[in-house]
Amino acid sequence: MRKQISLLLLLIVAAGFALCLAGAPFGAEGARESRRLVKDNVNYGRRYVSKGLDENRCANIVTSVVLNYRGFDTLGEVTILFIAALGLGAVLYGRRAGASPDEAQRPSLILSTGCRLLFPLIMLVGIYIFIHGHLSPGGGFQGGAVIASGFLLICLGCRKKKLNSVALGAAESLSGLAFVLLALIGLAVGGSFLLNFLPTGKVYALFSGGIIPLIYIAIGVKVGSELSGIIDNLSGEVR
Amino acid sequence: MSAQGILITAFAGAGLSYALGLTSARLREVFAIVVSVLLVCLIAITHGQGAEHVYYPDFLGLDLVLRMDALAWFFAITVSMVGCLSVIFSLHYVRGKEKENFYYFALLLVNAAMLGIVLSGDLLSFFIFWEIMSWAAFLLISYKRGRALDAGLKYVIMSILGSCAMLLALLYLYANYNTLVISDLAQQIRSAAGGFPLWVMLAFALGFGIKCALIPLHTWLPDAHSEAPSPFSAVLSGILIKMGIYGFILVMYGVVGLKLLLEVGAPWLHFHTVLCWLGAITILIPTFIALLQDDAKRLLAWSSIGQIGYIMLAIGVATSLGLAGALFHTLNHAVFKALLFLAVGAVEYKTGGVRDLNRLGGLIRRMPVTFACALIGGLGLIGVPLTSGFVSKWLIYKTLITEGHPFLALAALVGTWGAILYVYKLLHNMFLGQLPEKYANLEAAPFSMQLPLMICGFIIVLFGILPGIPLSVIGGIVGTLGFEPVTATLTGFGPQIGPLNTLNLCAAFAGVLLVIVAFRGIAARPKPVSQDDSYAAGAAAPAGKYHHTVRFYDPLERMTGGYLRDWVDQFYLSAAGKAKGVFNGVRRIYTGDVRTYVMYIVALLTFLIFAHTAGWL
Amino acid sequence: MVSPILLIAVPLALAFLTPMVGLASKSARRYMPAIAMLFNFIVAMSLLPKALEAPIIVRTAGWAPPLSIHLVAGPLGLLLSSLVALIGLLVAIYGIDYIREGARARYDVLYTLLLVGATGVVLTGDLFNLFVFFEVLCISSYALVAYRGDSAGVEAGMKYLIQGAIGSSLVLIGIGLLYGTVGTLSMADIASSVGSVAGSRLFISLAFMIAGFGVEAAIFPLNAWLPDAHSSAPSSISAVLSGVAIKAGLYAIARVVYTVYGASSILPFLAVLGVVTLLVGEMCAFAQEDIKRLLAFSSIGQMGLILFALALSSATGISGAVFLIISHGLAKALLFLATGYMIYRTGSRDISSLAGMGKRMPIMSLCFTVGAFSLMGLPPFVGFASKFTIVRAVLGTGSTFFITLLAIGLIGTVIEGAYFLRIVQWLYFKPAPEAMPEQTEGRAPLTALVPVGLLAVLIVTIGLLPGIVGRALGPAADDLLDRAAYIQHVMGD
Repeated sequence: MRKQISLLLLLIVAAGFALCLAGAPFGAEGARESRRLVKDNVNYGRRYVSKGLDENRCANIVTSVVLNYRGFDTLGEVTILFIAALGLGAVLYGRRAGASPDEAQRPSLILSTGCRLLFPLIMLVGIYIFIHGHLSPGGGFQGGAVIASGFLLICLGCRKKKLNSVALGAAESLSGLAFVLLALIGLAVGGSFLLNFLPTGKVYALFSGGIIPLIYIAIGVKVGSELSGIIDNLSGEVR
Repeated sequence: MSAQGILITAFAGAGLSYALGLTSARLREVFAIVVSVLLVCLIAITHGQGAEHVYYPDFLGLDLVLRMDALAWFFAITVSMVGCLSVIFSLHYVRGKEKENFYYFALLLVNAAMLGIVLSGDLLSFFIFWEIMSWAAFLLISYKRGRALDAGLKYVIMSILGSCAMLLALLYLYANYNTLVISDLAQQIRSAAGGFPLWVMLAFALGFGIKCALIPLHTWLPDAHSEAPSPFSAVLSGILIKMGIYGFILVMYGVVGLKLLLEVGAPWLHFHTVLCWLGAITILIPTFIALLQDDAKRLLAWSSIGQIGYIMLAIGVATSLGLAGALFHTLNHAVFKALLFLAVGAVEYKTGGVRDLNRLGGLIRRMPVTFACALIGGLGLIGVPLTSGFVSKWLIYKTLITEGHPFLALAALVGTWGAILYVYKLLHNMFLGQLPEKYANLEAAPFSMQLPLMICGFIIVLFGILPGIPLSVIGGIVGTLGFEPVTATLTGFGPQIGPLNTLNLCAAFAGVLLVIVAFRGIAARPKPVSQDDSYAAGAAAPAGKYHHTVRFYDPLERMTGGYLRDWVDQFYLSAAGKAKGVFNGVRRIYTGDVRTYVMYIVALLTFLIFAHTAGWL
Repeated sequence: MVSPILLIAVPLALAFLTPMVGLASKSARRYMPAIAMLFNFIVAMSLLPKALEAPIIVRTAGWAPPLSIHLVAGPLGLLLSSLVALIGLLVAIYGIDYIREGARARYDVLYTLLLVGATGVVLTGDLFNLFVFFEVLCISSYALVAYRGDSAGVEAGMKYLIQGAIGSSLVLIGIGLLYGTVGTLSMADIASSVGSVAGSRLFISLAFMIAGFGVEAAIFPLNAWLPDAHSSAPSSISAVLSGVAIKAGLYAIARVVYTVYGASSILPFLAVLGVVTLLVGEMCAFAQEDIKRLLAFSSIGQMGLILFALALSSATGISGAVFLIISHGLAKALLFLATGYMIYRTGSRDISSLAGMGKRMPIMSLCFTVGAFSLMGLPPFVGFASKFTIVRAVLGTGSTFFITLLAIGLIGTVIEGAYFLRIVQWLYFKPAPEAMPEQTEGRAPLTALVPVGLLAVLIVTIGLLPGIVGRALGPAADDLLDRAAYIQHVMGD
């Protein structure tokens, strides 16, 4: 009974969804429609692509959108990740599992050495990804995730290693603070939050895009430390 | 002294009495009495003034207005007087009980709110004060705990229901006339036509009817009046339910106006006629239910409903004499019902909370003053000549007869017969007969309890002999409400209304008294004999209880008891029970299963999409 | 002149800073949320007079509105963010000593972020940004509901998370569909261009958004998470969830329906939904024996009334709704806060355990009574003024449909009166049980009495002088109703 009802409901939703998508530009009709959308003042996506390079000197248009035009959203998204990590910590607080039998088993030498060998390399890749976020695909979120994977590897491979949660927390807080402060400097200097107040430099150079790389570094550190913090929490070792 | 000053005094008095009570109980008591007496004086000196002024401009875009006119003054003086007496009575009644501070605060607050109601010049302030009165009264009704809690809830639920109806009605008026000031409304509503006044009147009637316990909206009253602390029962019965009467008079004659009122309703059934008949029913049924009560306060409570019936009947007749009778009876009922409740309260206080008529008796010897006052009150309730009740009932009968309402007149008459029976039951079972042994050493009630009784008794007799004093005020009020003014002499009415002269009655009374005295003098003095002789036909008198007053009116009860259950109350209770069942059913929507909840979310989305494609939205 | 964006940026920065402060001094950390909200309150109140004249448009990254994200600090937004900050401040003060268990450090941060989310929702002028702040609000409330880590809390948090996540996905889909249709995310820009798009495509995206935001706004039948969540959370969290968070959902619906879509055809449906929510909430609250669950259901009822008033589409109606948002926020926060220490005192959430509380915790009981009376709409408390405004608006429309709905809805008010007054009787007119385990740590400290007392004072003061907030209500209603002015303010000429 429940299944039939669910199916019926979903069918109607799907039909509505289809109805909505049916009007999307497609085929000959769509081409006419999309020509209307070519104009920059109608389609902002197109406008970002056509003007973004000049305005922010940031080779990666996606980054330009994410950190400049819609940078305020990104601040919110970083906050959401922060909240998720904190929330997990809060819920898991006081629920420390006792030492499980597996834990007694020492990792093999090959495993632990391999992990230690890989760790700096992973860090390097991660840092590269977020430092070059304004030039090439990637950025703070991706780089941060890679960094966290390095910590995950350490947690799994070298069981004795513990992450320094105080340092992680500090990195998390300070990088978040750095993001907000960078944005606030824009407000103080130019009267607009998140204003790209630094010289934007030459396109395609490492030092270009004004505050965009700085913000991405902050995000990279923040995401890396947050995800590591989540791993830390879930590994159930440290408060 | 303006109306504003009176209200500030009243509300500040309530607040300060609480604050003072935190420091000293005695100070609070003195202060409460001073404030109450002061209020009576303040209102008394405003007699004859007519004023209307804005005291709070732009409250939610409306001006709040206070006004003082003849009608307001009349009710205000009644309220403040009964309020003052109940405060004096409370002195001993609540001393030593818990939450005294709260008690005085709430009592003074109720009185202040009632003054606010009658002094309001617009319907919004009227409503605000009305609500304050309602919740403050709720707190006081619940004061004695136990069954009082249920009584309080019953009262307040009905009261909220009534307030909702009133709110709708007054805002309906506002939506149409863009003002709530009574004098402006009265000007503008003249052009109203169609069903509009009817809807407004019906909604108001629901609100006021609940408060003044018109059948079938009365069911809160017997519980609330009997469970409340006695001084507050006096306030409840004496004046709080009269606020409903005031509301009826205000809306029917003050706002809608006589001319329009007579057209409200269907051509074959007018609104005011329905009110008349409801009044008649409200006289008859409660009077007979009152006969069967064994709880003194419950008996009085049912009697209050019956008396409200008289007032409603007289208001509904929509004649000059009827309205005068209604107003006068309002005043009288306030005085003698306050007296009776306070008398019962005094008995209850001395006997440690006993109000069961079957367990009392013979208290006349221990509490003679209380008995004498209660007797006067009872006579007033019945409407015996030379008490004020007689004059007001006379007015009501007179108008019913001259207007040609034989059945209504009969109902009023039967109600009076019933009143004789239950007043006799009340007075006899409490004060006459054999004194139970445990009360043999009962002391009389303290003076602070006797004083209010004596004042009430004095007023009843005074207004009974000189009805011209209140009638001069009432006659004026009737005049301001669009009727011919009623002119009265100091001792009765002139020939244009009907011959009534209390001087003649006094003379007759004096004559009868003289005859009795003379007869007693002439006849042989009765020879005192020992009780053994007369009571037990020579046998020794029984030691225990021999004068049984249980199951008073038993044959009558057997005959009528089956019909006189409170059907309405049962209906409401069963409806409430059903509603609870429904509520519990509704709770099952929340099953606790999150999958169901998710389905609800999708279902709403689906409904929206479906409704849109179907063209509903 | 301060920028309204500081209302978001500064508390956010303080939230990020909180863990660092915690490293230096654990006791100083507890004051961080209060400091953040104090700042917000002062700033919001100082900006309000200016916003009453014309909305303050805030650009980000230096670009003019439709191009980048912008805030629209209009009368409604600033009024609500002042309310958020005020309630947030008082509850934060209360939380200083109230929260004794669990991960205290995380509580302070999450609490601040929840309020940041609510402030962002009411201030933003961009639809996607609305969603982002909505998520900030929701996710921090999921975490806070489960904060204590007990099984009831985790279960409630989990249920809330599932339903909330589904709601959020629906919102996201709705925004996506709308963006696909009109090609912009600025609410003013969408508003100016929706007229040129076919009806049903728009409507379906609207349906997704209403169903999505409706979950957080506790509209029937999307509100099943609320009773569990509000009753399982710590009382200070229940207070902000009931006082602030659900209002943000309702604001989002109103903003989307009125400003973005200008969809008047759906309003009667929302009105019906509002009345049904009101009735269901009050009916369920009636038989509750758990005081916090009762308060939670009562919140549902009140949300129904607010939704109903919002759907009236008249200036008085929306003023009434905003007024009720304010008065309910104050009263419900007060009730939850007062209940918090009563529960500490007795160790039970049963209503019967409140017996004799009037003697044991007189100030808390008195304030509770004030809050309850205000919720019932009794004068002279603020609830009366707001309910009166709503009823006046309904009768002002002169529509039989709305008047009938109102008459049905008023039955809910009667039920509400019945259960709240029953609690008042328990507080004052029932004797306290003799052998009661007195928990001495249940004694309310000053940090609890001050916010509760202040809320009670506010309720009475605004009730007596409704003009204090009344001045802002009219512009706030116009903010929602007058689309053309909104578009013109944001987009320029």
